[in-house]
Amino acid sequence: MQNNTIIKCNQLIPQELPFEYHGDALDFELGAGEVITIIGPDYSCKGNWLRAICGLEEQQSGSVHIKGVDTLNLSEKDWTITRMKVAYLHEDTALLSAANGLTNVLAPALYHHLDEGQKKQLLVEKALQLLEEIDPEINLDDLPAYLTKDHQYKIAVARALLLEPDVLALNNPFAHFNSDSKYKFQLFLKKQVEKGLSLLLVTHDTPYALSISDKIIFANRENLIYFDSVEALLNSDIAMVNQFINLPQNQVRE
Amino acid sequence: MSVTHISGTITNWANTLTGWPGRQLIRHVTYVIDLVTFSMLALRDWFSKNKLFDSHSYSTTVAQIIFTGVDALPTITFLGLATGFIFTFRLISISNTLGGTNDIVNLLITVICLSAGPFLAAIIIISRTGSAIVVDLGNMKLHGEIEALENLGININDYLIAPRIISTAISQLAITVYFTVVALLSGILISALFVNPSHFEFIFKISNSFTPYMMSIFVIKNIIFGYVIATVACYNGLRVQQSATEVPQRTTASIVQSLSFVFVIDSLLTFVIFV
Repeated sequence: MQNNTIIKCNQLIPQELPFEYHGDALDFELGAGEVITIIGPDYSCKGNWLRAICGLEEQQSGSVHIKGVDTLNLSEKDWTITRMKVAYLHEDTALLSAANGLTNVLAPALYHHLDEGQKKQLLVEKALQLLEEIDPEINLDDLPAYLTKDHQYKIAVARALLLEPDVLALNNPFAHFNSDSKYKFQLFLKKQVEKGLSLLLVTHDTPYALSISDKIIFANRENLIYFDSVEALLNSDIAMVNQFINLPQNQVRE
Repeated sequence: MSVTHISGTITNWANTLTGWPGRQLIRHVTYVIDLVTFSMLALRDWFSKNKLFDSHSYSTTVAQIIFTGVDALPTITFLGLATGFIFTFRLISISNTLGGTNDIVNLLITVICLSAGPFLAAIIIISRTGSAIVVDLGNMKLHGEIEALENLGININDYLIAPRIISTAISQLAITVYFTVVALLSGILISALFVNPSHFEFIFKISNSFTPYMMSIFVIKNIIFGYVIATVACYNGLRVQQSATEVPQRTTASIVQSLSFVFVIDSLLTFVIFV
């Protein structure tokens, strides 16, 4: 295992796939600052694969190592740290409904005592800076019920990023975005990757996946295929992959 | 229908009838074990932290105490005044008929301090705080807030459950102290003002007769009540799964179960203390 490997999967198959799966198991390594995206047709349960990689779903077979430790051997306390370091968000990740935007961002960081050694004010400033980067238009005094879905999602992302994770795992992150805010959010993600954050994505936005990913996983109900580069995917002669890539909605638009 | 068939049917009915109490007993015992385990796990996670009251748990606990204790003061004051008028005043007024002053003092301590006070405060907490906790946690579970917190490494036992249990137990004690003081003082004052000024002496007699043993019973009883009410409420709140209709169902279940527990615990403690 390389020193900068954060997640390594060996022969992984998730437990809770809602269909009979007889395809290949997943083998891959995610390094620091790398982006791996899972793409594929709708209803192929890509989210289950992502959840299994993050240790949120039991595995039918295989193993997941996070920072060199088999997730099956993690204690309850270790999981607390692991969940911080591999932050998972799905498109409808909920915020605390009784807390405003800023409190939502700060709550997990305060719970994990990230304000220790520094004043709480510094943590607040860091949170505000993060929110400014992600979207300066979010009204942080409002309760989540009064925010738009994309603002809620951005707050959820900021909340996760304030924990300084090594990996951000995003399941269908652009579901609630319009084209303009999606573009800005994608730029934000790109900047985070440039700063060293690793991304695990499940998205229907195939052109974006191809533009940002270092490695691609193609998943459908029959099989799962791992490509160690975008070029490998584009040059693949596998019919179901080509068929999917050549769908009109998956073509890069000028 | 053959004789064998009829006897078989009767045997089945008999088995069903005799089995029913057993199944109910198992169900209730299992439920109590579940509750105890649930609350113990929550407290274990709370006490295993480096700092018992960090910024979050401190603010959650204080907020819960304010909601449970401070916000309930108007209701508790009203109930205390009513109890003072109905019980304390009446008992003191008829003290000559009932017996000596000491008997009345003991009666007041037993009825107001050790029985009515904790019990009425528990009913207020069940109806206000218990139901609020179920709705709060139930909705959080329903909307995925709890799952989102867990996905960020937050242990909900020490983030959401333990602060509620601890603050409700503290509030129950504080509310009962307040209720008891209001109920006793108001009754004594009314009695002294309208019946006999010498009845003021009951204030000192009651405080002198309230022994450390009674004080211990008072504290233990109230903390157990608060602990049980919050545990039942949290447990039911977290049992909400996917449907919004489960929230009122679990709220009702929580209120009924809490009331039952308070009755049973009160009876058991009365039996242990006075028999």
